[in-house]
Amino acid sequence: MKISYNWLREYVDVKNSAKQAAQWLTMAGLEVTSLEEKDKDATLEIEITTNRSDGLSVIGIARELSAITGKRLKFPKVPGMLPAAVRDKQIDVEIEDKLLCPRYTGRVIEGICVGPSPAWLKGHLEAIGVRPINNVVDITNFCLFELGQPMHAFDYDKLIGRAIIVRRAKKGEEIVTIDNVKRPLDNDILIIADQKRPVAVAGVMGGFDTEVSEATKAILLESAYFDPIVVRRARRKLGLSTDSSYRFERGVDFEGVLFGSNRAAKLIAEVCGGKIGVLKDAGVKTIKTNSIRLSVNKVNKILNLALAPLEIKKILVSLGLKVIGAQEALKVELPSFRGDLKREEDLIEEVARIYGYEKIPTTIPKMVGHSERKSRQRRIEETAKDILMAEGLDEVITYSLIDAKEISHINFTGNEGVVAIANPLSSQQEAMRPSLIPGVLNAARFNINRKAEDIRIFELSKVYSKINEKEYEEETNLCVLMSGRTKMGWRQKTETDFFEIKGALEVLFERLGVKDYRFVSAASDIFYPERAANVLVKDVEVGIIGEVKKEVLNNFDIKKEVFLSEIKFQELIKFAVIEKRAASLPKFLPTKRDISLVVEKDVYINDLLGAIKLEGGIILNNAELSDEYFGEQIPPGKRGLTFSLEYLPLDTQFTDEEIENAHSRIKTALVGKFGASIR
Amino acid sequence: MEEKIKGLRHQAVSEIGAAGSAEDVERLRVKYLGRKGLVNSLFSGLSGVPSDEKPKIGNMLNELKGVVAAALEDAKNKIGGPASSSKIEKLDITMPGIKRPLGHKHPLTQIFDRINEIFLNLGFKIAEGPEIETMYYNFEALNIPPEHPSRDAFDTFYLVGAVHEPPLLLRSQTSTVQIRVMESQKPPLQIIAPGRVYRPDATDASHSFMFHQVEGLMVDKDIKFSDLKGVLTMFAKQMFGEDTKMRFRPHFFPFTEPSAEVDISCVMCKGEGCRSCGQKGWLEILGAGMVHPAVFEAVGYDPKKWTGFAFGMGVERIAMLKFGVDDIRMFFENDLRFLRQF
Repeated sequence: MKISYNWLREYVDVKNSAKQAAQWLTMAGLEVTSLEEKDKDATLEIEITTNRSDGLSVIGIARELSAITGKRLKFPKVPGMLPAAVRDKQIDVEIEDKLLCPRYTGRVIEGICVGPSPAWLKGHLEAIGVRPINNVVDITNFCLFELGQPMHAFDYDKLIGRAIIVRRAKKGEEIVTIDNVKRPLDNDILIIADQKRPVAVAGVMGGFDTEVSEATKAILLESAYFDPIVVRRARRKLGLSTDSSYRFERGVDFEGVLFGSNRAAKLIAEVCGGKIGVLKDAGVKTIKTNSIRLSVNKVNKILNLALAPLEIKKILVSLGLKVIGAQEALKVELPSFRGDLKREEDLIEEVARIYGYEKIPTTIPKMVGHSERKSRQRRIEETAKDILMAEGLDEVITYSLIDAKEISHINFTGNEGVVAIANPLSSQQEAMRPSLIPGVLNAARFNINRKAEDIRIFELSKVYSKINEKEYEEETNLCVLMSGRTKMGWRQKTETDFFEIKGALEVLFERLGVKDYRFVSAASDIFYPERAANVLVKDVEVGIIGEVKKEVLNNFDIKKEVFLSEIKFQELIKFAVIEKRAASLPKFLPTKRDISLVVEKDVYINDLLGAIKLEGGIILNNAELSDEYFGEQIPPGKRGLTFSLEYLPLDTQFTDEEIENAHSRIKTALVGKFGASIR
Repeated sequence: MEEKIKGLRHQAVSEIGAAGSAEDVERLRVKYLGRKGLVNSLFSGLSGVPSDEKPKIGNMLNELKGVVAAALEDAKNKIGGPASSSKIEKLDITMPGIKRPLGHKHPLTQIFDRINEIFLNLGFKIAEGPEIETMYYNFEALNIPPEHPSRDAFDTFYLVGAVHEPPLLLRSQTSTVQIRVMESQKPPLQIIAPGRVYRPDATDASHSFMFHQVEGLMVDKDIKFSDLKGVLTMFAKQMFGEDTKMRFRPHFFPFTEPSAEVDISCVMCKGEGCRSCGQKGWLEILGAGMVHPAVFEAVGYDPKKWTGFAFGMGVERIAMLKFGVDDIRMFFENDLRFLRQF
């Protein structure tokens, strides 16, 4: 809310600078978000929290400043009763639903002269950026900002019939509001109607037809309390937020209804030269004041202070609360303008903020002492990120809401399980991702377009699915993507391929203690079938890996080869063994031998290794592929391979002969089973 | 026997001393120390030595073995050492070293890790909860009544699906985890809940429809407002530096009372006032307060018996301050030129 410092000081005698006042208000919870000084005045923009409707007025802020500084609050002087000076024009007021409108006052003011406002009135409004319109409207606006009570003036002579009714609108009814927009109404919207038609949307805006103009001779001044929720509904439905609706939605001061009417009527009579007529006051005249019991001990316990009962009492009284008692138990009577105060804790906050949060001490609580501080999954996720980072992969974070068409772009099957958003701001937020692949592909494209040559990225995050209408699932996936080349400075640059991404996964699995994993050729909607595999651990499928096929890459506008894997991380870590146990080291040193051979291209390395291990027996400690080669010596259609074998004696030193025997058994088997020729 | 040993020692040392190449040294090693070498053959003669001389001869043989081995080592070093350094090619040591690629953790992950570490050290444990939530956990249990203006601050994405009435939603705050934890565990509690939240805000430099928060909650028999101040001060000083100043301002949150907004002295100007802090000298970093008794009542804790504090902070906000990033969208664009700076 915007406020003029000079206007504010009409109600509280503070001589300090606006900057100082801003600082005080901020530290009392009325945050001054900007301060602009000009022409011997200052404009303060104050953020009033949704609970403090009383702060939406100059008086309310003056009351705060008075409590903070101890300076007296000067309320505008208005008589409690304004007797009617004329009784020519009468009006009846009827409230149909007293829950939606507990109190409605209508007062006729006759013989007025509508025209421009005097300088003081214009000045006050202009100081807070409100455009003066005419003296009647300006006075209702002035009172709205001064007291926080929104009011409306109807042109009395334009009302049809001598009675108005506060009721729900009927479907099909319409109103042209003061801003000259025709608005359809319905049963959720509360209106003020004359005998023929709606003349105002209650608490939101008046009607165009009954608006006060230069020709107006008599007005009906409305001051009422409308239910916050009904005003909120109307505001949302009509998309029409006004200074008035903003205050009613937050709850105006019930006792301020009549006070506001009196204040405005008196000003109108003074400024516009009219005579105050009959007041109709419909609905409830007064509401019960609530009181709260406040324990002084509790205040001091929660705030860790040692305030005396009288200190607490003084603070509460300075805020306009009535306090009975001066011992441990205080009875605090709540004024109608502080609807936000409902419980003891609310009063403790009042004491704390006026006393000053900065004066409350700083302590460290005793630890609760939870034993398990992180879940197993979280610990493994953190380890996995470290491993992937050490493998040269950069972590990306992409949006978990995506465009539904990107889901079909990866040929995703299982669309019935996709979680859809009812109110996206754009198509890019219409679905929750069932896979990390679209987001990671988009990240790859973004970087390819920026000439990145070495793209190695991963995302470890949630994917979402609908199991049925009631159950939803959020699971953590890992997506790894590589494209371009791997650079090791000037010495080595290798084009990324399938085996690099496969290797990255293998290192991850090994470091997480996942054993018995396999890569098995598999059909795929996203990869080239020749270059696709399922990843299995102990026969459980945990993910997919492969080279993304062109059709999919085209959907994402990517023109480079992309290798990708998506792993169901939660499935994977079921097999992880993160607690390590030391194994005893071998007593002897190994003997290394190579085997080089030539086989047909379609012989699988896995099968060759299987045969080697079988024949090598217990003394063969390890066997791995160390080279694949083609070239002049290798006939077309065949591949040259070298395996490195490592023999390790178990209990006793073995002889060259034993190694030779095993080695030739292996060679014989490779020749016999696979038609290999040994080189 | 003694003579034989001395003779062999002399012979070996002179022959090894004359060796001119690595091959010579290897040949001599086999000749003297090999399995069937001269030293070993003397060892096999040890059985013919009278038993009273055996220890002495044995020692001499071991000594011989040591001397020969040392001579071989010397010869090897001499051949490979500075005397023949003319054979070593000179390197251009200004060529760049070979750097193995090392990846980067996302800046938000790094901030999450730091926040988590600080609170773990203060005794908190990490709790997590779902992102797809009910109205109850996101609003009602947190004392945010339906159709209340305080809901305007929490615009929310809803899911399509007619069965749920009221509908399911994407949580707009990690405070939901407070409720879930309190429903399933008895006090005392000391948790943080890092996670992802959603609000349908138009995206710009400081707004994102998806962002991250860390929520904190501590409940015990005698938790005070001063404890909240203490814990958050410890956090801010560890996160932003020992000389960071803090300011607690009263504020309103439906789920805490008393409530506070917490500012730190501006990380750019140290409180002098600059563009980053809008000339205020202060930057808001989190919201906090004492747990509202209505929240305790919603989860079945007795507010007369337990008190607690809660706080919540935006991870992107802290990352932007820590790293000097001025556009929140940078975190989700995944430009490698950006990510590789961290």
